Amino acid sequence: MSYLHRRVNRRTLLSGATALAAGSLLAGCGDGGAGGNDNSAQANQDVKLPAYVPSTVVTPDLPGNANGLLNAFRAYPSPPVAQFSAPPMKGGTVSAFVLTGSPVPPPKGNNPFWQELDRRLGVDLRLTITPSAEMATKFSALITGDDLPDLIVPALFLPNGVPAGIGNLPQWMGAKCTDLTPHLGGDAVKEYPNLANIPTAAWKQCVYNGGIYGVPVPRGVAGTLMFRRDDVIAKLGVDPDPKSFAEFRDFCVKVTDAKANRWAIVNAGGLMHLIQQMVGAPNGWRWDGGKLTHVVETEEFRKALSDVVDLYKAGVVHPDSFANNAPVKRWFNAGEAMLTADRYTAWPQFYAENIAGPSFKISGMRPPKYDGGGWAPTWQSNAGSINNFTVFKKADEGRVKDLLKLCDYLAAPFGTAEWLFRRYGQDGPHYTMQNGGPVYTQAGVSQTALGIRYIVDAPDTIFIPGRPEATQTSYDYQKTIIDTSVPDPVVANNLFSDEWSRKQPVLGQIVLNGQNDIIAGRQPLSQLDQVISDWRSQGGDKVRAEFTEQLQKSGIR
Amino acid sequence: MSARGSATTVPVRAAKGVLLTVCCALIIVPFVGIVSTSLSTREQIVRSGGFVVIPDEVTFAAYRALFTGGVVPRAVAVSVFITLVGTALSLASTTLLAYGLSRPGSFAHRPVLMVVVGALLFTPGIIPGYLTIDLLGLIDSYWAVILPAVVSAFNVVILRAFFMEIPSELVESARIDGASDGQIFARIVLPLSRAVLSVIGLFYAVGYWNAFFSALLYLNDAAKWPVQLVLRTYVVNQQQLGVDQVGTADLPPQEALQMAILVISIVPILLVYPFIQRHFTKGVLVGAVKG
Repeated sequence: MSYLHRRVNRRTLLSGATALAAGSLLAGCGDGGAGGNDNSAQANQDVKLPAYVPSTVVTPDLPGNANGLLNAFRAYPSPPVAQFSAPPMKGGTVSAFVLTGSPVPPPKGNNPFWQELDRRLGVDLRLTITPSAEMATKFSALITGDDLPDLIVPALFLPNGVPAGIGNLPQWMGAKCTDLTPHLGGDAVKEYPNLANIPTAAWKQCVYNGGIYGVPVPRGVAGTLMFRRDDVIAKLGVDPDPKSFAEFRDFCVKVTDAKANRWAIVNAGGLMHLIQQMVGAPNGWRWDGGKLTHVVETEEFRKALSDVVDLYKAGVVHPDSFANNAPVKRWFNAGEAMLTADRYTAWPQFYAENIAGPSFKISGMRPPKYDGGGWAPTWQSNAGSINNFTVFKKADEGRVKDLLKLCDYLAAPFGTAEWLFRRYGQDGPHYTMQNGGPVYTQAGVSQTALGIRYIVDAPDTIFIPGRPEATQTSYDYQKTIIDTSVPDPVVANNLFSDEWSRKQPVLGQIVLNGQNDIIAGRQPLSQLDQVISDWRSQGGDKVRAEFTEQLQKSGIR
Repeated sequence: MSARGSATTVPVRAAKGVLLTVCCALIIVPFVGIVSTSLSTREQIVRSGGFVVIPDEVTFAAYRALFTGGVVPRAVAVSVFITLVGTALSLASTTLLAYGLSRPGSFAHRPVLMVVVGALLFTPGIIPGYLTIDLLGLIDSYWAVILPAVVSAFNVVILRAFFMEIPSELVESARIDGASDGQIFARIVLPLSRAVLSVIGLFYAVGYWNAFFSALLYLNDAAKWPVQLVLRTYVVNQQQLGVDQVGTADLPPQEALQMAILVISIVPILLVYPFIQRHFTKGVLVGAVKG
C-alpha cells in the first residue's frame, strides 16, 4: 500500500468520522437477514460474472491485452464511429447521485451540453452532483432521508479499493438496491454490448451479497508509477535506468543539485513506494495460504524504510516535501524534481500543464531488483480495476432494463462519436481538434463537468492528446510492467471487512505519521515497532481476522 | 503620563515602528500575494513556487474563467439573497426573543432562557438535522439553509445582556407617558441598541455568507448552491480536476483560480465592514461586560 497522497488521507480521515455516524444507522438496514444479504467471500465467489465480449467497433492503434494492458490511440479516430442511431430511452426522468472532481457545472437551463445530452439520451437527466471531497458526508445524509435517486455512486473509493468509510455498505445495498445478476450475469450482458466490453476484473469489484450490485467505472491496473523527467536527465548525462538499489542511490545523488534548485524526487513517500517494490514487499497484504500479513509488518518494509531514511539524509528529496498539500506536480513540472510517483492517469496532465514546451519528455522508471539482476515486479493499483461503481435503486424489471440501456450508452468505447460527445461535448462550442486530439474550450470544461463519467464508463485507454510519441512511451511502459505486476490480494479477491472500511483512514494515518517521523529524523528506526503495535491494537488485528476468515472459508490460496 | 511619554527614547519608538511594520506586513503581504497570484500567468506561478507577490504581467484569465458559464454570478446572487433575507429574519427574531427574555416579568422567561442556553450547549447532529429538514419538506429549498441558522443562542445571550442594561426608569417613564410595549421596544429600546444590533447583524451576515455545509447537505440541485459551496468545488478538488481532464492547457492555472476565488468570496463582506466598524468595539464590549 502506498501512502503517497497526504491529502487523500486527511480527507478520508474526515469521511471516516462521518461514517461512524452513518454506520450505526446503516446497521438497521442489515438486520433482516434475508438470503441475499450474505456477503461472504464464498457467496461472492459463486456469482456468475458478465461475459467479456471485447468491442470491435473501433480498432486501437496499439492493442491492449487481457492482463490489463490498455488499448492505446495515437490520435482520436477520425471520423469517429457513430454507434447509436436512436436515443437509448424514450422520455421520462432519471435521477442520479454522482460525484465530481471538477468545479460545479452550469445548471441545465444554462448548459447547452446538458440539454443536448438529455436529447441524445432521450431522458430528463436530473443529477445530484457532489464534490468528491464531501461524498461520504452527503451520502450519509442521502441514505438517511431514504428518498433515493435511481442511480447512486455509493462511495468514494480509497486508493486501496475499499469504499471510503461507509460501514455496513453491503447490508445497505442488499436492503435498498437492485441485484443486477439476472440482467447482467453470464450471457445476459450481451444485450448491452458496451457493458459486455468491460473486463471481468472490474465486474468482480461490483460483487456484494452474492450478486452483481453495480456497474463499474473501469480503470487500468497499472496503478502508481515513478514518473521521470527524461528531457532534463538526458541533459545531465545520467543513466536514467538504474539496475540495482546501489545504482538508484547513485542516480539520486547525481541528479540532485540544491544550488540549482533541483532534487531527485518530490517526496519521501514516492521513494518508499519504489524501494518497497525493489525489495519485494507485498502489495498491501501478503497471503501465504495460512497467514495474512500487512505490508507494514514485513521485514521488507523495514528495510525500505531504512534506505529511505538514508536517502533523505543524503538530501535527494525536495526540502519542502513534508509541507501540507505540497505542490509536487508543479515541482516536477518546473524541473525542481526529476521523479514523482503518481497514478498512470496523470500522464496526459503532465503534458497538458508543462511549461518546457515541445522538448518536454517524461516516462516511467521501472524498479530494478534490489541487488540487481533484472526488474522487480510492480504493484498494481490498490483500487484494483475500477474507480468506483454505481448501484441501482430497487425498481421493477422494466425500469432496470431501461436504466441498463442508458448505462450501455454511457459506456460507449473510446473512438466512438458517443464517447467524444459524452466526454468533450460538441465540436466548436465545447472543444476543437488539435493534432488529432480534442482540446476543451472554456465553455467545454465547465459544461461537461456533470460527473456522468462516474456513473459507468468504457474501459480506460492510453491517449495523450496531440502527443502521439508520448502515447507510445506510456503504452510501452505499461507493456513492460503489466504482465509481471502484482495485485493486492485483498483487492483482487474483492474482500470486504467492515472494520477495514471504517478504520482504514485511521490506520493509514498511523503508518503515514510513523513513517514520516522516522524519515524526517524525529524518531529512530526502532520506533517502527511501536507503529506496528499501534496499528495492530487500533484495528489492524481485527481487520486481519476478518479478511483471514473470508480467505480461509473460500479456499483462496 | 506625559512624563512617561516624553521619556520614550528614539530607539524605543523606532523599535515600536519596526514591530508595527512587521505586524502589518504579516497581514498585508498574504493579501497582496492572493490578489497578485490571481492575476498571474502560469509560467510565473510555476517559476515563483506558487505564490506571486508582484506579477510581471497581469492577466484576468482566472476571473474570466470563473465568470463565464454563469455559475459563479448566479451563486453570488443566491448568496446575497440568503444573506439579506437570513440576516433580516435573524435580527428580527433574535431581537424580539432577547427583549422578551430581558424583561423580568415576561411570561415563562426562565424556561425559555433555559432552552436557549441548552441550544448553546448541545447542537443537533447531522442526521437528526437532515431528518428534520426532510420532514419539513425543505430539501432543495433555500429555507433549508436559512431557517436552521435563524436564531443563534450566543447572539440572544449577548443581546439580552445588552437589553438588561437599559435603565428600567427609562421604560417606566415611557409607560407613564402612555407608551405600549411595542412602542417602548420600537421607539426606545431599538434606537438605543443600534451598536449592538449592527455587530450582531454582521455576525449573522458573515455566517450566512459563509454557509456551505448546510447547503451541501440540503441542496441537491447544484443550480441553487451559494457561492461558498461553488467556490469550494474549485479549491478542494484541484487534484482530481487536473488528473481526469486532459487537454486543458489553455485554461488558467489552478493557483490563479484558487486565489481569484478567495478574492471573490472575501470582497463583498469586506465592503460591508467599514460601514459597521465604528459600532464594532462598542457593541461587543457592551454585551461582554455585563454577563
